[in-house]
Amino acid sequence: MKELLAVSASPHTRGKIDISLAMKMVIIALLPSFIFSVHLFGLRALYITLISIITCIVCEAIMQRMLGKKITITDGSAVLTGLLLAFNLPPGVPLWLPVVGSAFAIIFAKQLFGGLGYNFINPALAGRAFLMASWPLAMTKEWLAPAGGTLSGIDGITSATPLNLLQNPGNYGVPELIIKQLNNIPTIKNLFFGKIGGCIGETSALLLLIGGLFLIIIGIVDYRIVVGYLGSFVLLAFVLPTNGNLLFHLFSGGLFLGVFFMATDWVTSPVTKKGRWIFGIGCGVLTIIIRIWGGYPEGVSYSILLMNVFTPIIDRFTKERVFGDRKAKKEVKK
Amino acid sequence: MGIAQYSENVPTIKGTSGIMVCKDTVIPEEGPCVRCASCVDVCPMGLMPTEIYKFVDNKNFSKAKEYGVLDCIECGCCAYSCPSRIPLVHYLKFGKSEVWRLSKK
Repeated sequence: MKELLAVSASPHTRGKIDISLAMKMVIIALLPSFIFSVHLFGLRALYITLISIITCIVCEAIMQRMLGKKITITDGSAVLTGLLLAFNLPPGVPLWLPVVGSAFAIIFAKQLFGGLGYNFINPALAGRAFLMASWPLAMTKEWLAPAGGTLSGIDGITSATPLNLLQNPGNYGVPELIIKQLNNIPTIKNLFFGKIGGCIGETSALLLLIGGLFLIIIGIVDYRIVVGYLGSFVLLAFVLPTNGNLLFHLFSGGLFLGVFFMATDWVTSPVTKKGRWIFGIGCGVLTIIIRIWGGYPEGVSYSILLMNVFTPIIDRFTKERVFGDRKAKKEVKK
Repeated sequence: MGIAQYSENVPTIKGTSGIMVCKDTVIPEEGPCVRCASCVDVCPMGLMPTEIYKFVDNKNFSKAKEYGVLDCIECGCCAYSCPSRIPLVHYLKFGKSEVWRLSKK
């Protein structure tokens, strides 16, 4: 016998999608929004994003080196975390803020829990929550007006984002007038196409929608979370008493960014099909609760973080039904 | 499906329905599970290969049995679709044999 052949269990061929390809696809889906935000907010958006991405990559490499693991910065997951964190920052923040946020996201939220696949909350959102708790002024006041529009999306008011305005209309003028102006068609149009102020990546609902649908079609993002999230959100925004109308709530804030790119994060969402429905619906309910009754004008990031924490419990209680399992057999015997 | 052969000195017998030769096959490197749940989506038996593989990896065979490792038909859909290139069928086959061995004792 000359040589032994390599033996492995079947299958001996593998699918096309691997981790780095999936990460690249998500980054590609986010690129239109990124380019648009550079157009809106100028080079500052570009600098913040680049700083955030580079910090993520450097921190990942350092942590993996220190923990004695293989360095896997080329798989794109660190790049994606940096990109998503930058998308969650106001464009006017000081340039050291993304450095701190990215470092927290990668070191504490991701690598200390075991790296890719073992983090229990979305690192980018954890970074945002950390910055929000530590530097609330920088995170809620450093907005920039978009090119060719106003921060609020309506003429005359330049000091508040649409959701801020909706929560405290009395601070900026006659409440009834402002609310009426927020809900009319030109404002909704501004929200949909992204001619409003806001975090770097969240302004244009249209571009995020295109990116999200692209990911669903190529099978990287699961439709159950998206449909559950948007469905419960739309239903509650329609039923519950709120100042904004349905379309205003749908297109404002970071909802589409959260729905398509954050909530559907592989690592931190449930693996069971039923669990993914529950996860999406829970996110939608929490988002609308925070928006209407909470202290913050926007609830997308905290709702997703809260549901991330519930993910292991959801997985435990929503096991998939095995084809022909014992319960089914007993019923047949009767 | 089928059994991998480590040597060319295996006879072709009456029951052999086919031979598959893999040329220049690169055995892909196993990455960490990212919980994408593509294995759960494709499993025709409604199993959760990602959970079972973790139980087998941690030698928790009673839990693996509870999650239905014995119902696996070894079709290979999970391993094919896994973006982390985890040899799930390998883990599940090993889990099955261990569950059998332990139940015989």
